[in-house]
Amino acid sequence: MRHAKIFSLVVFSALLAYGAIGFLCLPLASFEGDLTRMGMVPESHYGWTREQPALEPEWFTQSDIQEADVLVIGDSFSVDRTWQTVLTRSGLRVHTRHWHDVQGICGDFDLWLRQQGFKGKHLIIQIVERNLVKYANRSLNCSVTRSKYKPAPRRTPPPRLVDRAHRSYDGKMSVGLRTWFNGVRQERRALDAQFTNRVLNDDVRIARVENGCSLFSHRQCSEALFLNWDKPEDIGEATLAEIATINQRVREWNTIWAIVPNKSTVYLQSGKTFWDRAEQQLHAPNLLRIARQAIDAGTVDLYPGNNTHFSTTGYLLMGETLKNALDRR
Amino acid sequence: MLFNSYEFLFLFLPVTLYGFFWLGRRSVAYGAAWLALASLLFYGFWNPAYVGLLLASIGFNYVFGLWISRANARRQAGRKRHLLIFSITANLALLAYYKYANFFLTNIDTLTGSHWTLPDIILPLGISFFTFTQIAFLVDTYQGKVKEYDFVHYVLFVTFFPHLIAGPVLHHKEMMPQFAHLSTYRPDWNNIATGWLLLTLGLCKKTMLADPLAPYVNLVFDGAQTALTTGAAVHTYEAWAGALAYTLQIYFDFSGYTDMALGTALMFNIRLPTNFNSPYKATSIIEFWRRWHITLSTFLRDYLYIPLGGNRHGQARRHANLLITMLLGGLWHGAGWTFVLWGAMHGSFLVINHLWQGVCNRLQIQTDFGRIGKLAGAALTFMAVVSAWVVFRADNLPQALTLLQAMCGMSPPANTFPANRLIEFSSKTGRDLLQLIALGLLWVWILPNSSRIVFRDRGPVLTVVQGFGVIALLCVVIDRFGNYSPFLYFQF
Repeated sequence: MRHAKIFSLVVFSALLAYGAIGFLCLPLASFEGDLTRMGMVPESHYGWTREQPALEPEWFTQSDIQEADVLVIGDSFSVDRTWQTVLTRSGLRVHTRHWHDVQGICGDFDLWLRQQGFKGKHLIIQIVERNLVKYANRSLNCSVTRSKYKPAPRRTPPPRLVDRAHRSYDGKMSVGLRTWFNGVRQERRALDAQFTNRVLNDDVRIARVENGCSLFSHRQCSEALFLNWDKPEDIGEATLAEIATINQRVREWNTIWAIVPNKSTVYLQSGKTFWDRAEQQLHAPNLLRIARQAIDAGTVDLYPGNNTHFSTTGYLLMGETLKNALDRR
Repeated sequence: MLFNSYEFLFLFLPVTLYGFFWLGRRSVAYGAAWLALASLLFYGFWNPAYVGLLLASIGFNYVFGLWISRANARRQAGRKRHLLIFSITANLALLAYYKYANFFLTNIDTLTGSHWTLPDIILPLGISFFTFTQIAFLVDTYQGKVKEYDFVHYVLFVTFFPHLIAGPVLHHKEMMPQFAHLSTYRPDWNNIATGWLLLTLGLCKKTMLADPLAPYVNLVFDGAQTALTTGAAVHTYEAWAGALAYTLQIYFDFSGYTDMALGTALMFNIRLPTNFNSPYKATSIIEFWRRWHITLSTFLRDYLYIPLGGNRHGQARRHANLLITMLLGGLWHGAGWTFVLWGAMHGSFLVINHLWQGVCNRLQIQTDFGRIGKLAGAALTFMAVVSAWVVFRADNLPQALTLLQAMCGMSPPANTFPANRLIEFSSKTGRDLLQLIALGLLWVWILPNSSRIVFRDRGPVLTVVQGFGVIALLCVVIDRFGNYSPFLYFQF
């Protein structure tokens, strides 16, 4: 009985101690941004705090492909349908599909699109820089479109502000503990004036950004999170040639390539010329130049500190740019 | 509230346990009332609206139990019988409304072309369990087996949180003496320690085996549904992988829950009946049903099979009674034809098993064929059980048929490209699934049953080993709590 009592009390004590740690650390294990989630760093350090523009729910309506004026083939920058609100607000009917739904702009894409009943004039092919080479290659090597489309869920406007004081206890203990540890460690390193950047794990790096506190609203604003696999090399001519070949497949439509620069390209890597070349050769909107101009003009949180994607402000800028491109054609 | 949740382990369990013994030292009534209130809170955590329904059901059955008992004491046989019939009918009507109304209306609509509809009815958690527990109480009262009618103890008997939502199905006579006993309200450290071991084991079964198997099961069964519409084929190995994964998932999920229930109850010095006894080691279907969900099998035997006549009216009637019992047992699990078919399959297996035994007895053939015979019996039983689980898990009969055909290598030729495979065993996820299935099968076939687990109070070294093991395992399982993962039997 004596040993059973000691055993039980030790287990209870361990459990209560673990529970106390959980009470402190578990709220850190709920993430709003993809980079804070992947890098396991606290939202309280890298979550944006500046209010974003409000959008109306009806602007997020997905039109049927048969009645759409604009078809968007896009990635995670498009599936939330935020930048498309600029188009829908102006009366255009937009239908958005993910690259995974069509596998690529395959050889029979024009035939497939007609079979789907698309009667609109505009096709926007949106892709983020880091996936462009892969998706362009995949499209060139694919001859038959195999659609796996499932009706897209209803989309709602992104939050204008996130309540950073809200404590959620739904995460995992080990994630909460690691997040707490990473937060403490990074806070210490941030005090070092020589700090430039640090790889958190295979996916995420923290890097100091020049004039960071005028570009971001998060607490540790002199640094921001970036994807570790964003390459510093520029995209080559071969990809431009591939895009030109793909454009031949969809020449019936007014096709616009919306190539979104990586967050690292916008804030850390100067000297890339791909967007200038794409603009000259393919009339692709120069989203890199637009993003840099916005930053120079003092736009805060164009890309939030905790996310690889645009903020609502960034999406609206992208939408305006693409709307202008549509109007010009 | 789930056993596999932070709020249960870090807050509810320690506070309830401490309050129970602290109040129990002052008064048994306070201790029992505290535990009953805590149990209602445990239930209300899911949906407070249904606490009223639970309390109404308890009040109704308690009052009718008292009236039946009074009629019994006054030897009013007719009144007693009428009260029993009325109260059982009311209980079954409640169950029928919440669980079966939409099922019956859908079938009537299909048959007659009518359009009867009911609003979506949310199934109250554990309704099958607390209704059956109380029907057993009414029948026991009718038969004069019930001796105690303390209201708080009765509330506790029905609501005691470890068993309330997914059993085991309890008998009044097993529980009431335990609630009345003074020693129940004093901490027994051996019970608490053994309770910890069982609770930890149950959490391991749930979070380390049942939950990781679930995505693969969903993949195969959803894939079979897609195959029905697209004309794609499910491969034999995929169907077997899905069937075995579900066979293990449901065992580890439900027996894990039961281990947690038994362990938690034991901390409060309450012994719940054993519900599982290594069922996949059974060498016949008859034996399987003596090892799987034992308390439900016992309930069905005592309150359905025997009242129907049991084996007292010849072989044909016995087989018919078995089939009826298993059909209703299937329907108890849920309102769907797949459950009815599952019951019918097990009823048929049992009839075949009894016929085989009868033939052997008549011809005076020795049924004990030694180790190889037992192995063959176990393999045959396991195959029968696995195939029945496919029907049980399937969303509809065509889906079940697709998978059973695939398991027999009778899939129609695929008209889709091979890249549509559900599971590639050469991939990481395929290897993960194989490892889980291998580990699960070794566990169910080789390890002893959890009912044999007890804290070994044999010196400090063994205590440290057990303590370290429990704390380490708890750390691992707690780290898997992050997502909401209810138990499969909550839906029944």
